[in-house]
Amino acid sequence: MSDSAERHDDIQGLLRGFGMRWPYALFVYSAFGDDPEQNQEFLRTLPDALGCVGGPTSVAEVDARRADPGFDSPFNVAFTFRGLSKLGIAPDVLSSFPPEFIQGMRRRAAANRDNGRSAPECWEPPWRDGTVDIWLGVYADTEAVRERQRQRLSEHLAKYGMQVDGFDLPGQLTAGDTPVWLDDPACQPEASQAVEHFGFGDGISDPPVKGLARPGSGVTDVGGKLDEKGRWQPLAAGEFLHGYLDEIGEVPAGPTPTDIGRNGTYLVLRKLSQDVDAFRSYLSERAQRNGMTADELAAKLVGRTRNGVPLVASATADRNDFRYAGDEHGVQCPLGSHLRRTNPRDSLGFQTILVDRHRLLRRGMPYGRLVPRDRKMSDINPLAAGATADESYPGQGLMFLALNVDIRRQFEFVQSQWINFGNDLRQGSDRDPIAGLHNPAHPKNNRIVILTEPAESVVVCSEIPSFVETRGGDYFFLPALHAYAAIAGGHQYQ
Amino acid sequence: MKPGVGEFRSRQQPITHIAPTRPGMSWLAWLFLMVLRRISKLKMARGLEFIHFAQWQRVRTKKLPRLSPDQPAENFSHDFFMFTTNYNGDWDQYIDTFARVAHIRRGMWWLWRFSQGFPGPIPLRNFKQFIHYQTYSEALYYSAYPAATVRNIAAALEVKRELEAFSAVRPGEETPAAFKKRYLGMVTAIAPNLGSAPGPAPYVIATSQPGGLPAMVTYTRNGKRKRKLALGPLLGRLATGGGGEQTLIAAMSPIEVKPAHAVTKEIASRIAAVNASTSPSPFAMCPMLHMARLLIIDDLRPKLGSRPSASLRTNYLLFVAAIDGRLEDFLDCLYTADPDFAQGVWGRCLGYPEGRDGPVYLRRYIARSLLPVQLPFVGFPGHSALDIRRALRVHSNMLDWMGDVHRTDMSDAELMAAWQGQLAVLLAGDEATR
Repeated sequence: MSDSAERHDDIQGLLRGFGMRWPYALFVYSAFGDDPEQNQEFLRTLPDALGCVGGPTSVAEVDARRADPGFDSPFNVAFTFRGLSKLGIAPDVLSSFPPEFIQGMRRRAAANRDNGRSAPECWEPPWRDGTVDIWLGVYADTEAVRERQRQRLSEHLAKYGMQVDGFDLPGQLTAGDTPVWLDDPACQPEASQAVEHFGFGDGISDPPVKGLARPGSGVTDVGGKLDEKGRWQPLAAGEFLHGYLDEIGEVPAGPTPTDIGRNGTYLVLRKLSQDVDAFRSYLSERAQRNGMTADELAAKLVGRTRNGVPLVASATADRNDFRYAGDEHGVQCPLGSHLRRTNPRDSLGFQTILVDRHRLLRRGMPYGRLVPRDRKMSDINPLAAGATADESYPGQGLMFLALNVDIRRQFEFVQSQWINFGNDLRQGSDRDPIAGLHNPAHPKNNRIVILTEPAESVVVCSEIPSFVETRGGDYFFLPALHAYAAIAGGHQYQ
Repeated sequence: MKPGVGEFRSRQQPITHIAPTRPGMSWLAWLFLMVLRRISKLKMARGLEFIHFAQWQRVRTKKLPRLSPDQPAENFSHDFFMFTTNYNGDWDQYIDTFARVAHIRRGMWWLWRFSQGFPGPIPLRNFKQFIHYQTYSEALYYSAYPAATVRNIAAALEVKRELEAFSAVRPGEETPAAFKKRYLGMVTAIAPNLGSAPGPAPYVIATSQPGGLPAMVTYTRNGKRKRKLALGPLLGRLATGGGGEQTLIAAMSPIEVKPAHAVTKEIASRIAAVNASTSPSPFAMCPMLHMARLLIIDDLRPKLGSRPSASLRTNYLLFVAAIDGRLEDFLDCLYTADPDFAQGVWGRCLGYPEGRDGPVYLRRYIARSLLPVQLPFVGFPGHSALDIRRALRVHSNMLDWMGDVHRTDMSDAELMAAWQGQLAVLLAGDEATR
C-alpha cells in the first residue's frame, strides 16, 4: 500500500482541477428516477451524450489532452447518498458509507453552523428539499461550448425522464481591467490572476498531494506539510483519495468492498453567496474609524493582500512559501484572519502535525460577474434590477468544492473548529471575519482583534456582518472511473 | 458515544476510561505513576492547552470499598487502570494529538502499557477503538465554567493580571500622554488574548463559606473515631504556592448487591432530575468546586474481544471531582446546599448510616469510598474556581471596552477620562455586580 497516488487514468479529473484551460463550468443537479436499471443506463450513455469517450474525464486525460483543441469539454460526476441508493447498489454496501455522508449536508447543518439565513430551510429549492441525486460538472473552454453542452445534457436527462432541478454557471474570474481595489490602486491583482468577488487573488494555496502532481508542471511541495527538518513535503494521497495511506500511515476507513472506494473521494459542494456591497461598506467605515486604508484592513482580515502577497513574508518568490513561526502574536498576520484560520500551517506548534489531517483540496469557482469598485451589486445583477430570469441569475458568490477522504475530520472540522470557532488560534469564540457565519444576535462576538504594525495599537473590528452565506450544497461521492463503470454496469458490489 | 464536532453541549467534555491491568502489572503501574508524580510536572499535558484536569490511578479490585457486611468481595483476577479527564475541543482531534506528536505518543505508550488490550497509539484506529470501548458514560457532568476552554481561561487570567498591574498607577499620578503610552503598551500586550469567550455560567453561586456546621472529624475505614485519618495520600492533592491547593478525588461508593437494581435506578433517576432541571445544580452552590462527575458503574469491561474473568457483584457510584482546598469543606457545602440530593444519592448507597442526617455522615461516607489517586494533573494550579470565574468576567468586561470604547483616534485626555470612568466596571469580577 502506498501513500502516493497512482492510476491517474482511474481518478476523476477534478482532483487535478480544470483550471484556466476549461474556465467555464456548468453544474447541473438532478434526481434519478425510481428504476435503477434506467439510471444505470443513463450513466452508461452519458459520456457519449456529452461527446466524451468511456466515462468521466480522468486526471490522465486532463493532462494528456490539455493541448488538444478538439477536447473542449471534460466532465465529472458525483452522487449523493440518495443518488447512490437509486443505482442498484446492495444495501450492505450502502450502509458502509460514513454517517455524515449518509446524512448529507442538510442534516449536518448544526455541525457546519449553517443557521440563521444560512439554515437549510433558506437554501435554494433542490438543496432545501434534499432532492439532489447527482452532480454533473461539465467544464468548457468557451461559453459557447458550455451552452452547447447544456443543451446536450438537458436532452439526455429528458430522454431518461430526468430534468435539471438546479444549475449553476460558475467560471474562472480574472481581475482583467475591472478595478477591485478600494483606496489603493497598487493592490489591484494582476490582470491574469484568478480572483474571487471580494477582489482577492484565489487558488494560491492548495496542498500538494503525493503522486498527483503532473510531471513537468512545475508544481512544488510548498504549502504541504512540514517535516521534522522544516522542509515542505506533499501530503499523503490517503488524505484525499480512498485506497492509499494517509498522514498517520493508515488506510482511511471507507466503503466496503474497498473496490468501490479506491481512487474515489468525497466532494463537498457548497453554494456560498458573497455580499460584496456589505464587505466594501464595512471595510470603508471601519478603516476610516481606525486610521487605516480599506485595502490594508481587507488584507488584515484575509491574511494576504489583494494581489496574493501573504502578510507574513515568503521565504522565496513563491507566494505560498511561508510559515507563521516568528509571528506567534499575529502582529504581521492576525491570528483570526481567514488565511490563518483555514490553514494554520505551523501556528499550532509541532510543525504542521496538528493541521495535516484537516486539509482540503479546493476546486471551487466563483459565480456571477465581478463588481467594479465604483459599482453596486444591483448595477451588475440584472435580475436584482428587475430583468427577466433568462438573462442571468442573480448575485455574486462561490461554488465551493472541496475534496477530502473524511468529511467529518476534514471539512466539518475546519468549518466548525477553525472558521466558526477560534479556540485553536486563541481567538475564543470569534469567527472567521470573511467566511464565518456570524450570529446577528451577538454582534459583539462577530469580531477580530488586529495588532497594527509596528505594534503600536490594537484595532478591534466588531459587529462584522456575515459577508458569506450558505445557499445550498451537499456531500457527494466522487467515484473512480472503474467504480463509475461498475455502478453504471449494474454491479451491485455485494 | 462522545459528542461529535460542533455538537458538544458545553465546551468541556469528560472522559472516564477504565481498562483492566495486565496480569502481574498492577504494582508496576502503581509504581510508575508514583514515580512519574515525583519526577514530572506533566508539561506535555499543559502544553497541549486543552486539558483542564486529569488523573491516573490504579484501582485495586480487592480493595474496592466494602462498606457493608452484606457486600461481597469482588473476585477479579486483575486490577484496573483508571484515567479520568476533561478536555475541550473535538474528540478525534484530542486522540489524534495523542497519537501524532512524538513525545506525547511516547507518554501515552508508557501510561497505558500496563493495560490489557492497549494496542499502542498507532494504528490510530485501534487506539481509538481501545479508548471508545473502555470509556464509561457519565450520568452527570458539572463544570464551574462550562463555556470556557483552557485557552479562554489562560487568556482571561493573563488579561486580568495585566489590567491589575496597569491599574496600580493611581489617577493623577501621570499625564494623559504618559497614560496613553502605557495604555497602548497594555492593550498591545493583551491583544493576543482578546478572543471573545463567553463568561461563566449565568447563575450566581454562593461565595461565602458555609458556617455553623459540625467541626471536621475524620474516621477510620470502619467508621470508628479512632484517630485522625490522613486523607492526603488518598487524594490527588497538589500544593500550589500562594494560591491554596487543589484536590482531585475519585470515590467509588457501593450502591447495592446484584442482582438487585432498584436502588441503582432510583439514584440514576435522582441524578437525571438534576440534569434535567433548569435550576442550578447542587454542585453550582459550591464555590470551591471546579468540576464533578457521577457515573453508575454496573460492571467493568474486560479487554476488547475477550471474556470477562469476573463480573462486579455490586453496583457502584463513581464520583470524581476537582476542588479547591479540603474535601471536607466541599462536602459540607454540598450537603448544606441540597441535603435531599446528598441523601438521595449517597444516602441510598450501601453502608451509609441509616436515618442519619447531616454533612458529617456524608464526609465520613465519602472518606471511606475514596480510591487513591496516584497521578493528578491540574491545568491551572494556584487558581481557584472563583479566581477563574472572576478572570473570565474581567476578560469579558475588557472585551466590551475594546469593542465599545477603544478607538485609535481618541485624544490622550479623552482616553484617560474614559478609562477612569470605566475602571470600576472593568475590574469588577464579582458575579453579584452583573
